[in-house]
Amino acid sequence: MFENARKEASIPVDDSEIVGLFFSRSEEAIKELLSKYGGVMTKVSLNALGDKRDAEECVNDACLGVWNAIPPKRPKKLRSFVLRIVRNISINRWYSRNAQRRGGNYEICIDEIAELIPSAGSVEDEVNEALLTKYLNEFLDGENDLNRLLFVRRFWYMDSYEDLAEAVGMKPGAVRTRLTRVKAKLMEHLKGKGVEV
Amino acid sequence: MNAEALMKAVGGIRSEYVERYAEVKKRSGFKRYGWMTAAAAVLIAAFVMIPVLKPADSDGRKGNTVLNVPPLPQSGSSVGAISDFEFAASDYPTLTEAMVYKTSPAHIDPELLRNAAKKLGFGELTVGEDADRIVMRDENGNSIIVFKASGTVDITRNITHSEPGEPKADAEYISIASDLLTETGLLSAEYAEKEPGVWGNGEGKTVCFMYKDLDGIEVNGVAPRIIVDMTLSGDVDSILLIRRDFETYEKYPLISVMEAFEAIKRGEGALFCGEGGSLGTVTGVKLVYYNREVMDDYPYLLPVYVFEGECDGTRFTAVIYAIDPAFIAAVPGLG
Repeated sequence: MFENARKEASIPVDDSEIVGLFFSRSEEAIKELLSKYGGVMTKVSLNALGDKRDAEECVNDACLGVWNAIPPKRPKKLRSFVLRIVRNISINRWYSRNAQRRGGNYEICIDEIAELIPSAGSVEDEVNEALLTKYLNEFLDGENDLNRLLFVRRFWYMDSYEDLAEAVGMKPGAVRTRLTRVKAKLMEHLKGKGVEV
Repeated sequence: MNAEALMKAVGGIRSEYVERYAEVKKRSGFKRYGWMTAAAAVLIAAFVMIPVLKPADSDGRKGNTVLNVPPLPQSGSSVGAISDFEFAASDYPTLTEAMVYKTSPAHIDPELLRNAAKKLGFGELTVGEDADRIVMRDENGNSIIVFKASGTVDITRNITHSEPGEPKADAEYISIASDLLTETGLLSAEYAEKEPGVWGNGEGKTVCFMYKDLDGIEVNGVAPRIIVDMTLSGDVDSILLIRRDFETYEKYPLISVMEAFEAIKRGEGALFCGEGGSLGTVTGVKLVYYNREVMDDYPYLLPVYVFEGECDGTRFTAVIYAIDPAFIAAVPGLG
């Protein structure tokens, strides 16, 4: 019955089936992975880097990364697992570029956050990354769905304001204003946790 | 901390959020036309739409408005957890959009309540009021309590319970309740369309008049409904009017049943499953309108998907908003 329901709803191959293909070392695994998530993988990388060719290379590197990771790993959420890999590879690529040709939304996002942080910080100020992520999760838990969507799409997926505005049906200015408020709240949240910002 | 450290930390946020917002569907507010066509359309709209123009919300949003609603209930003892789900429903709703209804402000008709009290044999009523309620009592212990925010009315008769006789047929209880509500003017047309439900309430019987279907979709949840409690011999001892009036608001895009199912699997929505267990099998899905508040205000009547099935031999129900999540802002403490 599930199979019928899936066909009726036009749902592509199940994630567990794709993971199964990786476990059986079938090259179909990459094909199915790209067929299902290639679009969003490219989008994440393109957002970060702003260069189509670099993005394609990062997606290819990410496929290799997934191939090497599964097995032994058996991710429960394949999409976020894969997207994390492509995001990390893209950010590493961004750092490996020389300063003149970095660009992309990753740079813009960093600049945007830097505007909220008065000092560049120091080694003493550095807070453990895992702890910072924990505080971020706590903050997001307390936000409404729209604010979370905007924050995650802007700073995780690195969408442009234009894309965000189109996606949620708001004006870019309204998205920017809303996100400014969200960022200000985040800074207050982090300060409340004792993080030097 | 510096900006790069924060961006790195963002990369580690919970997978649930990465998954949830991986796909943001494009919502095309307007198609693009040539400027002449656009100008003509604006002129026509200016004449035709003037009576129904409404101000943009604070975000200047185009298209659907984001609905500020309470988070779905996490109902105390009946919430469990299921570690895995399977979908085995062969037939399920396929609507792609549905109307959202807005709850009209609570309307309290003192004259209607006074007349009802008279018909119910209440004595002279003394009226008290606090911030939330209007309380009317007579010297015999009969009372009418009106909850101001929602307009819900709780009528209690202080009757002497006779010896419980033989139970009557359900139709008789329905007839007693219908006659009393009609006589007192408390049964409005919206609640008279559907066949009332009857069930035991421990010592007596409850007759429930549900709100009519809207656009062919059942109105479910806790409100709106009229509940009449009576003894087995048919003496009515309380009437609870969880009445609501609705007006059409906007049509909203719906997520598909399978998208909703994926969201349920991610732990979204409300799951009622007793102890819970390992594998939950969905055997049925329905689309209903849902309003859950009894005593408080509740802003909208929203379509939800109700998934029903079995988990380790017990029944479970999972409820999730059917509206595209981009248009839902769950506001804790609201409603």
